[in-house]
Amino acid sequence: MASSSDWIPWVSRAKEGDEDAFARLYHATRPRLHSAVCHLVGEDHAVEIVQKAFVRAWERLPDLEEDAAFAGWLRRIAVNLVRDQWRSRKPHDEIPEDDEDGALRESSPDPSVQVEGLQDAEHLRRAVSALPEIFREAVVLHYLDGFPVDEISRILDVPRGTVLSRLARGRDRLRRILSPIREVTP
Amino acid sequence: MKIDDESLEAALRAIPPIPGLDDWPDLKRRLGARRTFRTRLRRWRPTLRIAGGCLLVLLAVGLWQTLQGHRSVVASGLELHTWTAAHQEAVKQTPLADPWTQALAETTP
Repeated sequence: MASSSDWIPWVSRAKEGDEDAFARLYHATRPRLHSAVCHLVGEDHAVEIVQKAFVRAWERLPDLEEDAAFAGWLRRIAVNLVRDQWRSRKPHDEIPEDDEDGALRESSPDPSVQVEGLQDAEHLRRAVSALPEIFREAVVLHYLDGFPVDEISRILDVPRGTVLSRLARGRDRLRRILSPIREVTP
Repeated sequence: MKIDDESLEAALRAIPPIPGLDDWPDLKRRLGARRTFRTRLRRWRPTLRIAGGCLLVLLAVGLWQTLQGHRSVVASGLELHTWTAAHQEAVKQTPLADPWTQALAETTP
């Protein structure tokens, strides 16, 4: 994958309507975005959400002020689409924006998650997907997608402290999901 | 056994990405289907900028010339006014100085 400094010039060209530059941006940034979205909604919905995110990005590119902020800006579009997906899945529930306790009440660890240890990536993935959505967003963006806390604060449109709190509580919840298994692992 | 933060963070960071499949042809088709006037306009933005700049220069030149023309009209008006005043003064002093009056006097029996 090209580093961000490589694709920044493509952003300005794509802003002018250059479809080839946008294609290069797509090839360079899609794999990481796909991976993040997969961890948020699962592979079944990820492909569609990623394609929709790029369509939306193409339409709104002229509004992007800073070319270097493209990756975070694209994540923000994708996160909004992911939230739409979550809402459509549970039409009567609202995604709690600030009610962290509400989120804790909302979903308890999935009992089907059989975590065997930290070394097993597949089990870790399942543990992450069992996290309440509000914590999953922060954990995926920070640990799996590699975004710094400040950038996540902009992507999720919440204060820095809220991101840190969600990360801490996400880790805590993961520990609770993983611990029972770890305890019996020799 | 309690999992410490460090090993948990390291384990999360080590989860391999799921790159999925690249489907640019599908995206290209979607972009084509949703091509709005605004997105079409974007391709022509640099050309439109240059054309707009040229138009502005032309308008500025036109405005400048119009103002110059207005000034010369004002100047001509002033000249005419001065000439008429001088002519009327001359006619007052010497009625026959006016070629029309002179011609009229010569042809009148």
